[in-house]
Amino acid sequence: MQMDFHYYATYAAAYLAGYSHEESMVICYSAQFVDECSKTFLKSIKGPLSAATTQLQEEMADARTDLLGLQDITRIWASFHFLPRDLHRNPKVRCSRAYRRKYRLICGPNGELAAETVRLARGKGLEAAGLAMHVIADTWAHQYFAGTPSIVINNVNEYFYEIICRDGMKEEYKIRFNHNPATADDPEKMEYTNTIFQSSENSVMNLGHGRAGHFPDYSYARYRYMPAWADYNEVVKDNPADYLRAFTQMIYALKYLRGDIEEFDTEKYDMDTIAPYRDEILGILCKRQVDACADWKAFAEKLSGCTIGDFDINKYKDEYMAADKDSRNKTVIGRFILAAMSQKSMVTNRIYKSGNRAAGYSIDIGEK
Amino acid sequence: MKLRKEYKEHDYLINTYGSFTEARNDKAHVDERRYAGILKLTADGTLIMGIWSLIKGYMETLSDMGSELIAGGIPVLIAIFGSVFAFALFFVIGISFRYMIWRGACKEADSGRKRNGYIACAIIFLAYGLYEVASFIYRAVWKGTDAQDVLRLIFDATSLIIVCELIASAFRLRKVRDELEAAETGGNL
Repeated sequence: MQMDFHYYATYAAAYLAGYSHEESMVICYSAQFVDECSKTFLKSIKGPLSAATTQLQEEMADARTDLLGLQDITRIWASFHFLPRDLHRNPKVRCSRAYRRKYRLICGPNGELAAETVRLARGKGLEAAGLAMHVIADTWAHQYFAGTPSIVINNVNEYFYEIICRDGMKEEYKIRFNHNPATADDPEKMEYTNTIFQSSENSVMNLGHGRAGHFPDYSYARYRYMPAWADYNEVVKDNPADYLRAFTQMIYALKYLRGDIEEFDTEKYDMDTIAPYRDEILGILCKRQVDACADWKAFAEKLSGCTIGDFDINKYKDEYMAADKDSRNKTVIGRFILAAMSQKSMVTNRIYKSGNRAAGYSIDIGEK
Repeated sequence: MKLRKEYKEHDYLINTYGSFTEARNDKAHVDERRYAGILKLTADGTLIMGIWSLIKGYMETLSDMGSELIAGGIPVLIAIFGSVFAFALFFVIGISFRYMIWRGACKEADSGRKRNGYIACAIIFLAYGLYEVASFIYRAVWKGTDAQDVLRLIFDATSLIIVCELIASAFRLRKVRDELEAAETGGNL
């Protein structure tokens, strides 16, 4: 997902869940900040590098793909962007133990880890809530991809079709990918930018949905493709439907985090709250555009009647830098860092305890 | 607040916006994709073997020509002309036919339109491959073999297996596609 959903839609979800404008702003800032909090940024504010929640392209270019390097990549991407759905699942196809472990890192919604992510954020402040919303939302958008480099899981081939509904008729068009990062994605010509094919299983080019470019992140995208792990079965992804579920699950989770609901369960969606706005939301989700920020912003501002400022990565930077060492953890970025370390530790240890060494081992921050 | 554990009703709402679609993962569709994939893969294999065959054949001709030139058996001009002719001959046999097979197989796998030209070419290669293997066995029994012959056999046998697989997957693909078409149109097979 992109800024349109992580920032503006998260604001709308928080507001619909009952948070005030100011609280919703912190939640949506934290949700979007997950995509910005790289080691480079943390270095600039003298923060702990282990709290990084993303890797910039420049950092990825320098990333090692030996065991420790892969574990570092997996810790970040599996914890915050590609949360595994089921760490104990046995794939239908016969495969080696190493691949079985990799398949278990495939991202998906409504997993046990997703529920734990939300439960972990309860009582930890608005920043932890925002971070959890990012993770929950991404489980829907990044379904079927994994937060570890793997050609078998993440590669896409020429069998990649966009499904477009026009006048009640379904039409399928082959998506064309190019590797020029200077080229903008073009939904009209169905041309998108993706990473270069690398036959190496552990190449960083095969991380997440890089081989499908940004296409899986667009809310209008409906597509079918054939991942190598599916043994010639195709996967159909319906983003408008999934994004609506993500949005309503976020509202439900935020109500739980506010204390309105006692228990958080998976596969529950707060459809009633959005009932008056469903057509409007579906309209935004189905609109063929690569950036829905303006539409989501207008919708969110209409909801709260307040102006939502554009995302500014440095908004809380000075507060963090000016705080002394003891009070840093009470700032917005300080609390975000604590939440990030806690989430990363929880996911890493869950993966480790499932017998999978792909993310390495972490001290249990939650117990500290 | 009312929460729905099942979201089928919601799916229906989504359907009204025309967004929901099912994955076609029944056996016939999966088999169709599998055989189309194998057909393209074996077509690539045929072309690669052709390129290797061209390089191998040309190197052998050059080395023979070189030996003749050193021995002074043939004039230089005839040697050059001969090597160009041999290259062209190997190119036609090794690449052109195989390129036709590759192109036809890829087009059939992608478009679903039946093409017979590449099957005919593949059958010629199949016959040639069988002849090569049979002649190796004949030579091995009556005249004995050396390492070069064994290496050539490995190459020819690999090429033969690829062509066999290509023809088999082409026919299996046609059968599955006919069944799918019959199922979709309600017609008889």
